[in-house]
Amino acid sequence: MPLYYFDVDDNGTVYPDDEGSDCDTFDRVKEEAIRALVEMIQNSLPDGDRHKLVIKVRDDRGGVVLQVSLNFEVQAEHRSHGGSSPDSHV
Amino acid sequence: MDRQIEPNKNALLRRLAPADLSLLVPHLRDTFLELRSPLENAGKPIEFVYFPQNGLASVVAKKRANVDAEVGIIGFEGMTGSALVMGDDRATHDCFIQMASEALMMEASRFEAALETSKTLRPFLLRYVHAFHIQATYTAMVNARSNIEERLARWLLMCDDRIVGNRLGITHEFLSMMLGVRRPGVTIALQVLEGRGFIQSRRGEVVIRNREGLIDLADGGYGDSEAEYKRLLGDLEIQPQIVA
Repeated sequence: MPLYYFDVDDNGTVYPDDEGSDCDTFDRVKEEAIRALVEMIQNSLPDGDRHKLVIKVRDDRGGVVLQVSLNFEVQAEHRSHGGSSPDSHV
Repeated sequence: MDRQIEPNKNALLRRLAPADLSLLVPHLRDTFLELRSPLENAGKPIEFVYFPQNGLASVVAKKRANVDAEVGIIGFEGMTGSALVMGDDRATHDCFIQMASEALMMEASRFEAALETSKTLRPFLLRYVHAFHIQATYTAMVNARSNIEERLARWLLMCDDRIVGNRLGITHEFLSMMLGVRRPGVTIALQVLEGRGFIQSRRGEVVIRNREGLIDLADGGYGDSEAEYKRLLGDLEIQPQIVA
């Protein structure tokens, strides 16, 4: 089975994958990347009003074959809440 | 004629009353279990009981093909075949070797006969079975309430307790299965722990550098279950740490 490498860019910090995973089809690569992204963002939120998480998948020849990104953003209403911080729950 | 077996290397056998140990010893034999050796198969009768002397076995619950999660860890502190102690004859989940292990093994029927013969063997082993269940309850808690890094820290500590030295031969792929987390999440969690100086992560290997740091990070996920084992059975003597 072909090996794919899932590199992660978490708010600008890059975590390269040097081990790779077996995936039999490209659909499977896509599903893994999407599910991993959702799992990971759940793990890191809430951590502020902005978060960008990207997974770039390389094949074993080194080319990027897929990029999945998630942009999280909280926009507070311009309304006073008596000094309390804006609600950043998702 | 007969080879010398070493019951003292397994914490349960070491603590057995001499009369109970002598019931088991004639039926125990040495075995070497390679990575992924199956010890029990889900839904199947239990054929053998294993008392590891080192290495690690995992009980893994499977939702469906390729969707599974580890629900129990067994090393030199324990045994497989908990179901037999509780009067059942079959395995609910798969159990297999996760890190190569030397173990003492015996036939399940011989083990059951010993449980029937002795008035003290089953009550003693039930305390272990209880400790093993307590471990599973903490696994349930951290799977519901702890993030990937906290769970990884706990898991690494539990392995470190059971292996000789501080090097765990483990791939990201395997960790992903054990923790029920997709690969990229494992890769990041390992790199975060490494960034904090708690571990060194290389291809196929994790070296434990700072247990205290990992315990703090596990945030209550590690320690209580281990304390319960100690209360029920005595000190969990940690395997000698060879610091590289």
